Amino acid sequence: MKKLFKTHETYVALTVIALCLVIGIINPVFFSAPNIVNLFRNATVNGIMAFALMMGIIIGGIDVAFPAVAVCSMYLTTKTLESMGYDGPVFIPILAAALIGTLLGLINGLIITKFDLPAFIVTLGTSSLYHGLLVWLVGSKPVNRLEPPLEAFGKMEIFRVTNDTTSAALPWTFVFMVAMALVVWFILNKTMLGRTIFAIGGDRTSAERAGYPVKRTIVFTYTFIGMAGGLAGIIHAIQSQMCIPTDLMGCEMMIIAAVVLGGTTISGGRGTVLGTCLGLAVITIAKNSLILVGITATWQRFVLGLIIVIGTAVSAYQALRASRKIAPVMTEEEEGGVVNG
Amino acid sequence: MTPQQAIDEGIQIIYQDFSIFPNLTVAENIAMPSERMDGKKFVDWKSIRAKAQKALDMVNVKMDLDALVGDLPVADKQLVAICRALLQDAKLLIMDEPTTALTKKEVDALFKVVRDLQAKGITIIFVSHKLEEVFEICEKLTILRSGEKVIEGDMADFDREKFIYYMTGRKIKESYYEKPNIAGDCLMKVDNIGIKTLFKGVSFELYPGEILGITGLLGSGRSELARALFGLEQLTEGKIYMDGKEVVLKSVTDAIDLGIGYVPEDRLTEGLFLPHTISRNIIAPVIKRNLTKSGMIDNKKIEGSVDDWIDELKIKTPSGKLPAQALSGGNQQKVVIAKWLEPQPRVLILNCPTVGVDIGSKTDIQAYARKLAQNGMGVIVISDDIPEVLQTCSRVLIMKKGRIVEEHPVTDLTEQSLAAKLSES
Amino acid sequence: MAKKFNANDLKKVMADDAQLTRLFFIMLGSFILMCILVPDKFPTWNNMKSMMFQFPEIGIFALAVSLGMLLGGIDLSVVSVGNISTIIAALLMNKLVEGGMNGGLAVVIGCVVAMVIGCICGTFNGLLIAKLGIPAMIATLGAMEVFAGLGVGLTDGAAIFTPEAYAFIGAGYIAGIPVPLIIFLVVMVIFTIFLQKKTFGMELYLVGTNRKAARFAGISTDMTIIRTHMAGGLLAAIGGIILSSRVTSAKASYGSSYILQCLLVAILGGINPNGGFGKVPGIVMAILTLQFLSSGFNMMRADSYFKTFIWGFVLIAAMIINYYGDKAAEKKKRAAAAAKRAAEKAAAAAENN
Repeated sequence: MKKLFKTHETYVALTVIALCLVIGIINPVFFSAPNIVNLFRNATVNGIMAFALMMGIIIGGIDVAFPAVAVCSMYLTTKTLESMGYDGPVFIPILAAALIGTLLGLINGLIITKFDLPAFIVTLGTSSLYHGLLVWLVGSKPVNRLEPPLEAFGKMEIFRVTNDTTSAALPWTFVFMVAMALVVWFILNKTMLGRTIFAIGGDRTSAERAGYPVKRTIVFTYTFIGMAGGLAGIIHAIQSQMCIPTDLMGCEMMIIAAVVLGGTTISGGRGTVLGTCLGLAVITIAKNSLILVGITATWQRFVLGLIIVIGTAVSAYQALRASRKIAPVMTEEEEGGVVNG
Repeated sequence: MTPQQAIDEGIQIIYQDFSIFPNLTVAENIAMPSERMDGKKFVDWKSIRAKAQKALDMVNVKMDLDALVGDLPVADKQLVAICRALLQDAKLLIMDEPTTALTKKEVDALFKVVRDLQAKGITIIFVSHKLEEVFEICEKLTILRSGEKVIEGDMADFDREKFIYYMTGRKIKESYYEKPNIAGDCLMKVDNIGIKTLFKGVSFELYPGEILGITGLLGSGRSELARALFGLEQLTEGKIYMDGKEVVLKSVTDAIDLGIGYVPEDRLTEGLFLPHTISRNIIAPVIKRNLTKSGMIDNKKIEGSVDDWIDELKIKTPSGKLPAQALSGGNQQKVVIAKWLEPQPRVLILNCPTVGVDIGSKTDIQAYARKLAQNGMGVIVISDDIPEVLQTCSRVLIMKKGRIVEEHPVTDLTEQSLAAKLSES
Repeated sequence: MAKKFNANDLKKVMADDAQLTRLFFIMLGSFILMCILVPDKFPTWNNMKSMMFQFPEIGIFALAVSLGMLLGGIDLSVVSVGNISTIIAALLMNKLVEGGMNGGLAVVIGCVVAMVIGCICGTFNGLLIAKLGIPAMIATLGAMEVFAGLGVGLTDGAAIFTPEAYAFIGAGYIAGIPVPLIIFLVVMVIFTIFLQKKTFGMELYLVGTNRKAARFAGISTDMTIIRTHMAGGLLAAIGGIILSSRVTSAKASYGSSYILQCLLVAILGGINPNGGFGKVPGIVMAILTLQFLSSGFNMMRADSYFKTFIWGFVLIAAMIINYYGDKAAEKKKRAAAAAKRAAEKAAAAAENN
């Protein structure tokens, strides 16, 4: 019980509950079933990217190229399908998008490890390289209508809730986010690969000396983030029933914020899937529900920024205070009396 | 040879920094590499815990398997590193300066573990520059100097003098330091100072020409005291007087302005800006005193004083423009000392000044401390290196559990008596 | 005594700073390349003039980003700081002019206000990093959202047009020299002096290398971090002023592609992303290189996304070139050290005989 109160997840969970209560009390619509279902639906694409990104942050790196990877994958895939009038099974385009993402992620990983470069700057570079190349070569005309298999898949519902005013459905695409969370949880906690990721994030030099395959694991991590980016991209297209090659660009900030709010330390070595879920919840609720409490669209970005600053400040300040605390030399009784040598 | 090949051959190294993972548990730190060696792809927490327990039993230690290694005391971290090596079927165990961060008691415990391992048929290479330890634990000896082997042989063929001779390449005389007869009022007086639970009721006086030793084990409050005397920690009680006037040390800048210098414990993280030039390192605390009339940094003046320090302290470098990281440990430490003499302090605090320093530089540094004192400076040496305390200091304070418990002129002490006083509780 | 400049000095400078030398040739190379590719338009006075109006703002933003990098962090909020300062300044200037104030005076007040706001925003960043211990990247990322969000909130996302007199800063000439270029040169000279010759610069480099050792050396690390970010905020505001007056309006979403180019300039200019090393001349050469390429591509009517692609490519390429450059330098150093040791050994042997 005492341990429960010490974990970062507890604080984030309390924040989520507080946020829900405040918004719900001001505007009860928040607690209506359609609104909640919509929140889950809106979290899908961000969630797929956030869980994968968490692995990159745990290993002590960062990736800001995954939105570009997502755009490349979804645009190349939908564009190809459009030109060939695709009418086959839906899993092939999804697989293709994930493969494109995997390839682009692999390139990121190879550049970072081969030349020992800071991941942030490399992925910032490849981000603009990938996106620039895509739009320059392929163009920027949106795909306004997806091919029938994708369109149909986007409309498949797990369930639908309705009340007096609105109705909302949870689409099957949501399953991809759940699957991603489970896969990441499994890798991190149940495989040697995952423990190697933690070890590298804890102390890279030690991992090298202990004979861990450091570079290979780092390459895997960025490749995995690329794969997740590709998947998120095509899911985004399926959910929005169209594909605009400038969508998603810039979303990396929100996703990094979600992961960091969830307690993943930016210096690496620590992070949990549960924490990221909660961080994602904070960002999703803030992004979608501020309007319910009368914060107009124009002020949303400001409030969201404040939430990020305050959230990271609280966890950083706790860490800072913990590191500044020095273990006492004397026990209380010794402090009182004179020690006889 | 890659680390993995070495591991496969049964070679294990306990690095000076232990190379453990602070964010993982004791069990995982100990057993994970061995699980990897077994070719496992998935995590078997049961087997990990069992293996870790087995390894801990081998060295006869009890530890919480679920504790985060980053939260453990240094000695336990080292045991974790040793246990990890054992599980990987080590045939040859290389220990690189394993005792630097340990107290005497912990060193004894470590030696017991080392002897047990030896009895189990494991060969151990014990890398150390501490003479007493080498004599206590080793059977064969190889001495390296400046990257070359100078001698090897059975331990029985060596005595103290021969050992030092080969380590340094010169004969070194050991003797006590006597405070010269310098007239002068008390430089620094410390009256009943303390910080919450770190240390309490510490009082002493420091006169010009004196080298005051403060000795105590790691965790006795000696480092905290040193930091407080330099304005790095704030006192919660007591008073400090310089030249009879009460002073308050709110920051390092205050301490520097009052003429206090502090050579910190860890030169790599606290003392040096490794990739920067020697000259930048030396003038770092006194940038403001090296400005031209128009407020610009006076490079000519800096170059002059840096060259003087290189000569004065015999720092082995072609020029002050070399980065500090290009120097050997001993020469780096000399740079740190130069850095703290450049502000011309009247009181110099040396916190473990010769840790990780070769014997040659060690004698240079100790001799230099004496010279400084003879010229009227007040020097405080904080150290648990018993021979060092005896050879450098004129008066010794013994610190335990945050208090000064005894005070002796150095002439009253011998290595045996001081060691006994330190380890009795 | 006047110092004569000779070939030996030049050689020494080049050997001292291989990276700057390399950069000089990259800059020269890109200039020559564009002269060859677009010989009719690129090497013309008209083009030179238009370039002089274009690069100063990104150059100044890049310097602001570089200051953060010298501390071992990064400052992602510079462009949004530039925007929010000029938005508030524009709103104020419009009010003042409406109230009948002389346009020139209103512009002066507006610029001062913008710079003050820039300093406040920078101080806010510095406080988050130094006092709360938030990693610089996350702190400035959050701050970027706050400032940009404030900008959107104040303007509903629309552009705020600036008074007529304001345009002088972005488009005017003083003694035949474009005003942005003058501002750029003044800023670069001041910061060269501050970084290389003043206590501030030395402390900044030392804190960026090793925060703990800096504290032990009596340097107030928190103050250094706060002051550096404050300077970064000031620079961001100056960059914002040039940008907004060039387009005669202020808007929260201006310069959204600048942050990549700023990082590109900083990295290309030899600022070490781990902190502690990097010089202003590097930034100047890097921004010129970028401008030559950019102008040349524009003249070839290149797609704007082609440019996005090229910036990403150059950023990666620059880091890889630096990687091989550093490796070669290290090899050379190691060989020299080995030679020295061999010489010492020979001398010692001779002595023993």
